[in-house]
Amino acid sequence: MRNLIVLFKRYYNFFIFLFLQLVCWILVFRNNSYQQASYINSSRNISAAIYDQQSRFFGFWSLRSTNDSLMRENARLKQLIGHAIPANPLKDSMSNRIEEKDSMRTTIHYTYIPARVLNNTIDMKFNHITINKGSADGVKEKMAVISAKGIVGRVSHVNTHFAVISSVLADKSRVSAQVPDGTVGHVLWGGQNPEVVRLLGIPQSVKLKIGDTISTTGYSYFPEHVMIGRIKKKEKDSYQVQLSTNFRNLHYVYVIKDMTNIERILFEDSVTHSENP
Amino acid sequence: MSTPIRLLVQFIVIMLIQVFFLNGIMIKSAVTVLHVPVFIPILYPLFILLLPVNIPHPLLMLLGFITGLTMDMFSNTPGMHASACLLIAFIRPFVLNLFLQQQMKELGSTIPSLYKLGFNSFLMYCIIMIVTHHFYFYILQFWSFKSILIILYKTLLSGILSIILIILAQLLFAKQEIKRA
Repeated sequence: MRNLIVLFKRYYNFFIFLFLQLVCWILVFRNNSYQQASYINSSRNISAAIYDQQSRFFGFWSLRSTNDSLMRENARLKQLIGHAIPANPLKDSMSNRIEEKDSMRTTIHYTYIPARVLNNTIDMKFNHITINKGSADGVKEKMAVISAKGIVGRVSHVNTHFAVISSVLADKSRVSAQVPDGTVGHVLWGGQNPEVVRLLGIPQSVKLKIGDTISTTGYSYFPEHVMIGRIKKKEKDSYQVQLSTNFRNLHYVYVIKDMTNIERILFEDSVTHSENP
Repeated sequence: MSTPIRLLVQFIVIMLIQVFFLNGIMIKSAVTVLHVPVFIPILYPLFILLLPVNIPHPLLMLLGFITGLTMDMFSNTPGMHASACLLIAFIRPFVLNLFLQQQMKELGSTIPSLYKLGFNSFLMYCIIMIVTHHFYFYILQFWSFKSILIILYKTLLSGILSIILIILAQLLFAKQEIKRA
């Protein structure tokens, strides 16, 4: 026992180091998986408030490009008014969407919650985006998030006034995707280049050209027909897809309020969990 | 100014620069041509580098831990910066011993700055600390042996940038010290 105390006295610096390091490792390995809850994230009030101030201040520097993108978005929206998106009436017939039925098609109007990006990383293995809308504005976990140009990610943590989004730029994050003729595959992020994802699962018999648009299906958490990107290059058994969202220059995003979709995902999760406990 | 207040000011200034300016900069490099990975410039280990020589080792490690944790709060990386920063705080006295002519205790509260150590010694001190920090940080971040080349590449590029930033910061701040002396 005395020897133990002597040992501890002699190397107590090292033991302090080990103890603190242990705390760090617990933090890293408990919180670093893609969707799990984290204690220290930038939706915490202090850091989020500071980021809010920062983006308010530095927002001026990118006003021009932001305006441009807003103008383009407006133009796109104006074009969209009156245009129906083909939809599956079986899947989309829940009550909290507003639907306009004409003879052939159903128009779905999702509710969009516009939000300002406060913090955004693209250099990590799992990238996160902090936005200035939270549960007070109706943001809930697992909601899909898109930008004016394409997909962005899904909400992972929600605070009262802030939320953190797990970006599509996360290692092994899969998004179901379809090519122009309707064949369904999925896209995966490679981990390095924030502009390119890989499209997999498309059979060789389907011929794709460079420049073909890839959009989402309704199978993953995104709504149907949201742009993912364009085919850039063919590889041996996959395609390189240029993302349409520019993650380097992301200032405004839309959180999509679509409760039936979340309900479906939760239901599917519960079913698969009960099958493989 | 007394030492604790000076350190607090130093801490706030360095963290503000890191969080406000550097965290927002993603180095836009020749991603597609040279396969250069994206990274942010990291400056905050400068705070650990510039603590006084005679600071007690446990306190030094605690400060390292807190500095890293602060950085973690702003970059959604729970524990990673804290772990890396703690590691360099732990090895700092051993590294400093290599470059200091006199015994630690005789030096008192000297700051191991560019002018105190001399350019070559300070550069070596920086390189050892920064490379350790970055290497360990990227290992924790990638956490797979498959990406060892990317880890090394990222450590090299990010390390060079950090060292340049630290030396620049030293050149700017140390001038004031000369005026006072």
